[in-house]
Amino acid sequence: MDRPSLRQIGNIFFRVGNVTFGSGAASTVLLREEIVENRGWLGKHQFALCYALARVTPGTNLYALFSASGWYLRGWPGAIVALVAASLPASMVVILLTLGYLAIYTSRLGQAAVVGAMAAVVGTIIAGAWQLIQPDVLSRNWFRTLVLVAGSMILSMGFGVSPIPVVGLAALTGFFWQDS
Amino acid sequence: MSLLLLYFLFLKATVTSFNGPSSLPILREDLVVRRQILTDRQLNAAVVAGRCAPGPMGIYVVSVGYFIAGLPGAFAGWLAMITPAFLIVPLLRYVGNSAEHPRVRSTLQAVVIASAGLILGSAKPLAIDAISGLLPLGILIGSIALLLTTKIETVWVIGGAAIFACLVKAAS
Repeated sequence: MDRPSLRQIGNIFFRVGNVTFGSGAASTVLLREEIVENRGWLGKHQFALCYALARVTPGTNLYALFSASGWYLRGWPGAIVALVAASLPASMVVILLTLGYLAIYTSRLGQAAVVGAMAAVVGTIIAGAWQLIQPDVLSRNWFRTLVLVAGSMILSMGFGVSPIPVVGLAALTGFFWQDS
Repeated sequence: MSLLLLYFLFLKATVTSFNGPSSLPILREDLVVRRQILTDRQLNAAVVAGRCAPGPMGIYVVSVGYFIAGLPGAFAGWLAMITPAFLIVPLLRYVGNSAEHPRVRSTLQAVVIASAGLILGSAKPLAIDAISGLLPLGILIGSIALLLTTKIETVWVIGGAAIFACLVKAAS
């Protein structure tokens, strides 16, 4: 296996982390192509382990995958370079978009645009939540899924329980009530 | 508010969630409800910015940081967003083989499912703020339908909604 330089790692993760929108799936496929298929920097088994562990790492799964891959390639410096290259440019775009919001919000048409965008983003949140649970709702585990979703909504909205205890309770539920 | 405290508040949200949007309820509770240093409208705008930018959904915390404390706040948000990703390194070293254990998988799956309920709960106040008439309501319903029935990227749905609302306003 070739050992890439930090500059090469930066180049790859810059491209992979800043060209896809809203979902980690496309970035994951792209990363696998670049570092496993095209360059042979990482073996298939190593990439699969990085992917599996990224799913169980707190925070953004995609960044955990980048961190793990970078660490395999060049240790801690590789992990840091991979994460910074993948996340910093996109974060700058977010700041520019925020500035854009602040700039246009005072104009009549700007306000209309913001109202439209905000309504749509509420739609994306609702659709995103559905997409998270859809495979489980439509599976044999539908009752467990229903209990978890309804339970978390009732606890947070009905009783004002903060999200962290709700997540903790869900983890305990999942630990003792395994999916079939 | 000190940047360090802001960073820890962001970190509390990012390190206890297993996908981008599930940090939303925790951030809302800390920043909008308890400390009142962010409004629902700003939080909604931050989510818009995050969804329109490249990268994962959780990147909206950078915009939240900018709303609260300008560029240093955005930096705190960025740092809190990437910090949990480093936890995978000790996981790789020590517990790599148990990631596929059925009980571990079941626990994580339950957390993700409950997160969806929390996300829906946090969408309610954002919807109350954003849905101020028939036009936004129509856009909300249309965007949900588009996202669930087509493969259109969210950025195009949000951009299209903004343009559509502009055109309606200009015509009225």
